Amino acid sequence: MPVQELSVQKLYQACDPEQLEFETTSDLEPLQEPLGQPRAAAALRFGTRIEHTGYNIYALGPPGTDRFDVVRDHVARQAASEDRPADWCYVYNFEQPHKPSVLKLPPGHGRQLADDMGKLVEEVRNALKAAFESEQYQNRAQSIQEEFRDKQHSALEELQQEAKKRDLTIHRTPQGLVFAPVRNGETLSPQEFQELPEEERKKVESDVEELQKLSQRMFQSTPAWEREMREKMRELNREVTRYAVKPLIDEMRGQLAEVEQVGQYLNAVEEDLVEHARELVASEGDSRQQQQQQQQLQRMLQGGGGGSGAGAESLGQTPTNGLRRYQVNLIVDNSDTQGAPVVHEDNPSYQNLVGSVEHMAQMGALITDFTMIKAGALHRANGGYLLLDARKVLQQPYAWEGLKRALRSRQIKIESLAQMFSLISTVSLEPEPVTLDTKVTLIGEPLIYYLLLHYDPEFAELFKVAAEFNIDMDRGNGNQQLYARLIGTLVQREQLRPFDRGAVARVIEASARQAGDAGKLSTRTQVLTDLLREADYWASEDSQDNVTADAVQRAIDHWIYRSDQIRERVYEAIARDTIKIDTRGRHSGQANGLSVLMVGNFAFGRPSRITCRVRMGRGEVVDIEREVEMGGPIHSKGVLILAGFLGGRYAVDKPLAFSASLVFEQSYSDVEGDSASSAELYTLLSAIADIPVRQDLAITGSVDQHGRVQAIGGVNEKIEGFFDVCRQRGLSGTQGVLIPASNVRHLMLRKEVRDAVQEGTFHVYPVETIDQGIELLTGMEAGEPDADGLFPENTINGKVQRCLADMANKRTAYIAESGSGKGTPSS
Amino acid sequence: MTGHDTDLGIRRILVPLDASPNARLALHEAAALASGLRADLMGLFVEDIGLVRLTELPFAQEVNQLTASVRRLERQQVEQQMRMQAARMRWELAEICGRLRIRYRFHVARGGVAAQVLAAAAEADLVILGRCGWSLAGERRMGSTVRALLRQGGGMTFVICPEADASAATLLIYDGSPLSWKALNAAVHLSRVRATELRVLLLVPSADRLPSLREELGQGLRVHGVTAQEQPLVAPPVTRLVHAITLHRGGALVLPATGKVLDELAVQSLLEQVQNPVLLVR
Repeated sequence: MPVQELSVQKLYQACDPEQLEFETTSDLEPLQEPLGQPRAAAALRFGTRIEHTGYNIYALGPPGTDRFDVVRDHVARQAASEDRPADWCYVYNFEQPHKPSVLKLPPGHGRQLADDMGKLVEEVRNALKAAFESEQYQNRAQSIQEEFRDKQHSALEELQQEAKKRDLTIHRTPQGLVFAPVRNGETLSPQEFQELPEEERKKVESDVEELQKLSQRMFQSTPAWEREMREKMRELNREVTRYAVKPLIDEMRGQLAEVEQVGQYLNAVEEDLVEHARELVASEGDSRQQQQQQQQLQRMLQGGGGGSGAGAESLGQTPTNGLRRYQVNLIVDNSDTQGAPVVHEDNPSYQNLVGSVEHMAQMGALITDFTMIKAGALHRANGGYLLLDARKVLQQPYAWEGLKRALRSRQIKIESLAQMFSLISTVSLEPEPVTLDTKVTLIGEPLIYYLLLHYDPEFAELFKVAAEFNIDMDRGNGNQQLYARLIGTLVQREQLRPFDRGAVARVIEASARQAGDAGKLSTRTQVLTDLLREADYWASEDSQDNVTADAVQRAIDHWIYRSDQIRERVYEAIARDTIKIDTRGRHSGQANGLSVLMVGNFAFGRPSRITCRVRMGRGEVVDIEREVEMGGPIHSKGVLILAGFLGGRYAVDKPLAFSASLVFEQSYSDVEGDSASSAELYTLLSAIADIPVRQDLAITGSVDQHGRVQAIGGVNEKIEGFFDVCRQRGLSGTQGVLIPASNVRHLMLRKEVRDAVQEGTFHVYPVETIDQGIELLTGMEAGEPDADGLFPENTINGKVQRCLADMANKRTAYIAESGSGKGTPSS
Repeated sequence: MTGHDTDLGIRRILVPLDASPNARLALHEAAALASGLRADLMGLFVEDIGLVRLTELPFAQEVNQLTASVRRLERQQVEQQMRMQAARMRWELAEICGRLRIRYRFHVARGGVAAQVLAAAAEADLVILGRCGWSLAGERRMGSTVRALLRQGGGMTFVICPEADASAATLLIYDGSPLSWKALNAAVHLSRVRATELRVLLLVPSADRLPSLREELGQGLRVHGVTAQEQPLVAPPVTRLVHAITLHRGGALVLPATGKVLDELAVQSLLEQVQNPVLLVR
């Protein structure tokens, strides 16, 4: 039965504005839930509510599906109903300073503690300064120091008295003492000493020896005196500090009594203050004390006398950070948070995720302390939700590993990459890990999801919930109305002019075209939003209050105009015959195939001249594209199917004795896909039987081994592509396209094509089988096989069958001849 | 007192350097003053001849203060040590003078320390030295060189004290004696160099002299364009004066070598008792 061309009604599924129950989008209720994503929404609901380990979410969908906004909105709604999580602070670890301690506090208490500690530091500074500068303290300190000095001086006096008694004097050297005899106040010279009677000389020597022993005893006692003095000073400092500090800390204890950890921390602060207050006050800028300490140190190093300064006792332990150690580094402050936090880290580097310890250059060295610990996104999202772009996480060095480790261990451990890989061995901070309780949602493309699933065994354990976004949804009256609400929601969100019914209907039609299916609507809201914005722009250009269908059409047309330079160049080349495409007449072994080219986001159809040459051979169909490695595997598969079709239909009991070569003429890039396989088969049959086929028809559709024509993608672009080429040259009235019948439901053709079909100057033929197609192309009957499998003579199939049989016979004869020594087989 | 010259007349500052911590403090103080007064700095290291001679005594042994061990005192070793100390002090002097762009000289002399310092002091307008060097006197008592210089020296002497508070006010003892105006001039310069405030202890033999002395002081301060807190003391005994000075913490004390209220002996007694840096003006 001959194929009937499609009526214009089949070429486009229009949206009737009259069926839309509103005047403009202002009348529509905004959507609260994502449209057309029931599966993703259910997965998100499940993923955010389930509380077991590893139920993190991977939201997968192609770009443009608004997956990020959908996920964020859903997570935000969920988070709003949850409790505020804890605050986190890092504080000084008084026992192990290189391992800062972490405090978990009820929300809002972190800031309070930080503020209170700031005030405490200020008050302690003043209280301690006042205490240590008080006359009472100075008197007691001086008295202790005097006691030590008195001991030293008494011993020295005693030594000097003893020396004097024995007519000796004491000389000081940089390292110690030397004793020498004096007479009349002058040290004896060696000559004078030698002139002394021997008995006297011996006495001098004996006296010197005795004094040396005495001075030795004195020097040996000095360290003990110093220790005693230091201990007394320390005790005095403790006493004074406790008196000054305890009331201040007790006041804080009362305010934060409910948090046990804070109580322990304040105890440690009090003890540390009591132990180190003197040095802390000195290090806070008491230049006098600093000077004294330096002098003491200098004296001690040079052996020039015992230390006697108040602060000299713990120089080696004096912290360089002074009262800074009592600060609170509030890394997570949830005092103003509403519900659970939702954090989106746009730059998910390792440091931005797990936090870092910063450093500061000081005197050429890099130094750090707990106040320079910076929170990462995991800290900020702790107790809530963290949204991350999967691709960005994977692109950042070690971010993926860091994220997995945190999720696996349920701890955030701040560690620099250099430390992690043992690249440096300098001492740095090891902050106490923070317990992690956050739900991570990765948002990314399906390919990344499946790659991770395949190659990373931990991925499946940590991201158990896949929220898959659909790229389209069913079209139907109910859904069209919902889609109108989606449009209304976007219009409202983007603050655009209201769209009237006609405009909405046109947007719905464009969405179906975007989906590539008249029965579907695209859920790529990003593309939809762009169209709405641009339509709004054109409406503003026309000073319209509402956006109309015309404005939407202008937006579509202008977008195409902005994008189709390449298409124009290709069509120009065809019009100039630089690229040869015949759109009239008939040729043997040549047909017009159709392909789709993608330039950025813009797709257009392009006719290609497919040619075929046949000669005697062994039944192979040579795909020239594959031979030169320009054909992809799917294309090659389509070509190999042709040989299967030919063998099955025409040569069941005979060998195929031909060799055919197929090529896309003037194709200079890769060819992929099997949508041209039916066109290739028509070309092949034409070439075998030497029957010319119509060049005013273009063909698309793949074919199976039984000759059934199958659906292909991009049917609209392909039809429009051939239409544009024909129109450039002037429509002949017979031109048209053969498409698979199963693609009819996908048709959403442009108005010009529909108008041409309406006027009968262009035709679209839905084809189910190769026989239907070849009849259209040749004007001959395809023919049905009889009981013996023979096709009638005056049919296409009959001619093909006979040609193939002739070639088989000739080949057999040729082989027989060459076998008797008369020649060499050609193949 | 009006119309007097505010130039202190200090062109050369001598700083004896025996490599002790106090000598280093004195060096820093001297450099700061030399820079402020645009004066030259003269460093002097004295190789103590007494110590060298000691090494020739058969029983000369040194008791080490740090380890309490006894060992033979060798001349070569003592001399080498002195050379090292001199070299170190020369380097430190050059470094600080280079930094502050001060002209300087460094001289090494051999002999008795006090005698050599006194001899060098004759060429200087001001001598700056630590309260004690390597002396056994201890920080609270003055060393023998300082003592000699205060008694026999002809110029101004600034004795540095390690426990001094550099930020504390400069304290002037003013009694209207002929040297008082010079002391005021010195105190103003010193307070400017040390960036401290100036306080004045007004010493009068009787209360009725106070108004005129106060007027005189006021004129002097106006000439310098400075202000100062005043504390009058009527014929104070040395002990009371020491107490008044102690209340002002460890700021530098500037006083004339002899005056109307304190005679030379009283001044010497005062110097023994206070623990402040002292600039004795002659």
